[in-house]
Amino acid sequence: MTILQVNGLVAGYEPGLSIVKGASIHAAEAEIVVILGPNGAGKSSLIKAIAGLVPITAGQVLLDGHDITAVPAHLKIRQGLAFVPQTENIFPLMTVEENLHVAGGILPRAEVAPRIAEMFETFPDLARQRALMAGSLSGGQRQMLAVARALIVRPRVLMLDEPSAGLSPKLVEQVFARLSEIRQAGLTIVLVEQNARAALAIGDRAYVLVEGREAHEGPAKTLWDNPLIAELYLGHRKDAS
Amino acid sequence: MAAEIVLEARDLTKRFGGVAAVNGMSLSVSKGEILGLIGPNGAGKTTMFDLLAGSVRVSAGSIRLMGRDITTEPAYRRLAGGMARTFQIPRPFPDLSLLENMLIARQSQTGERLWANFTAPRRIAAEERAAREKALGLLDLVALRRLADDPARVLSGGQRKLLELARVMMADPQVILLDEPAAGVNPALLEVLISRIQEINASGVTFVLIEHNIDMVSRLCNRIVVMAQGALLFQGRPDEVAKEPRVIEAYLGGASA
Repeated sequence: MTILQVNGLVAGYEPGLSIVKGASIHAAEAEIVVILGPNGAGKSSLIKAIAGLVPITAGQVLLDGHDITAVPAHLKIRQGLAFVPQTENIFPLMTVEENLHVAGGILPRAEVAPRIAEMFETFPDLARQRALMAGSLSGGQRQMLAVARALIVRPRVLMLDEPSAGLSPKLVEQVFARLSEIRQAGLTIVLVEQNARAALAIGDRAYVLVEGREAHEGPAKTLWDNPLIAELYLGHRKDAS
Repeated sequence: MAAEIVLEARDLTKRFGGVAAVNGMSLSVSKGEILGLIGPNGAGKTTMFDLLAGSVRVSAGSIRLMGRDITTEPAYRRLAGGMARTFQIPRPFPDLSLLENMLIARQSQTGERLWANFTAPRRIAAEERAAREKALGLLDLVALRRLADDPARVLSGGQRKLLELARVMMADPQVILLDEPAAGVNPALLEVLISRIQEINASGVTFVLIEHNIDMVSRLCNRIVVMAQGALLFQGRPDEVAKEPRVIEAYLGGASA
């Protein structure tokens, strides 16, 4: 069942300068969809536009069949669409627990504490560091906190902008394994990544975005093995790996 | 065998309050080498770059650049002395064009001297033409030439990293410190960058590379230094690093297998 449907989206930061130029993508329930593409293709802008953070000039965003194109960002999260930016995705001068409190602020008051407890169960590392300033977390833990902040409100779709950037290989492995687990619980994940190898390993389906619209689409595994796409966008030749 | 040491750090320590981000770290880089600097998040790699480049002051220890003690020199003097660095999170001048961002990075331009503008206008014009050509060539290399006249604010995160890389080359440094050049860069373009770094290196430029992309590090570097908790954990050739249990435990995880 399709949860997120994006039709012919056009979006950009400045009038007359579209970065997303008619992109159409969709994601099904409990699916991990990966968005790859060259630098400047509009990958981040696409998911930011879906989240309501980049002005949309044409096209549609449907969540569960409802048109949410014009819904402002802070209300999109209430409808189940969460977004984790690449940087500045936590409050560094608040503790880990305070960060979760703030994020859980849109839940009914009685649910906040139990939901924080659930997040600590899912992310034991964060539980151990609940009283620490979030700014002093390591890169991987910080990324986990950003994901926990998004998950605390029980979204149906989680969109992430390059969660692996700047993380050590070991942490990339941990973050992606955790995303895979979260999906088992029925969450839909839309993942923008340059680390194609790691992303396609956990992804079900992938798009290659070129100049603001999708140029290729297919199952994650076949995309990795497609020699043309491998050479143009993934930087590996079939014989090389 | 005794290659000339161009950059040497001895027992460097940097304390922020009670925390030692870098704790007695030593490092020596030979001329023409590409040295890899890896380690877990929070190991102190970027702080090490900050100390080497002069962005922050050392708490203890010393730094020598081409034999000269630069421990207390400000950052701009180290750049003039031949060492440049890139930042993990680049901040180009948003309202200047890409080309202007590039031209600003050039060192000691004759046109910066007031009287030269009257006494040597032709020389200045020729220099500026050459600088423009060079800047456009470098922008071409990082696939940004078609945006040369656009303001830098239109660039995506990945493109900003690429501009940063091109910009550092404008200063003709002898030693280049690269802080995670691959993060956020499309893998196909990364192949181009790797071969370009190899070319520049072949012309005698020395590199120190902080990077989590182990494939890139292994291909570019013949020696890798691994940091953990502000200090040296291990150093060796890429194949030695890949099978060192302490490095696998602290950094690589299952990815090395």
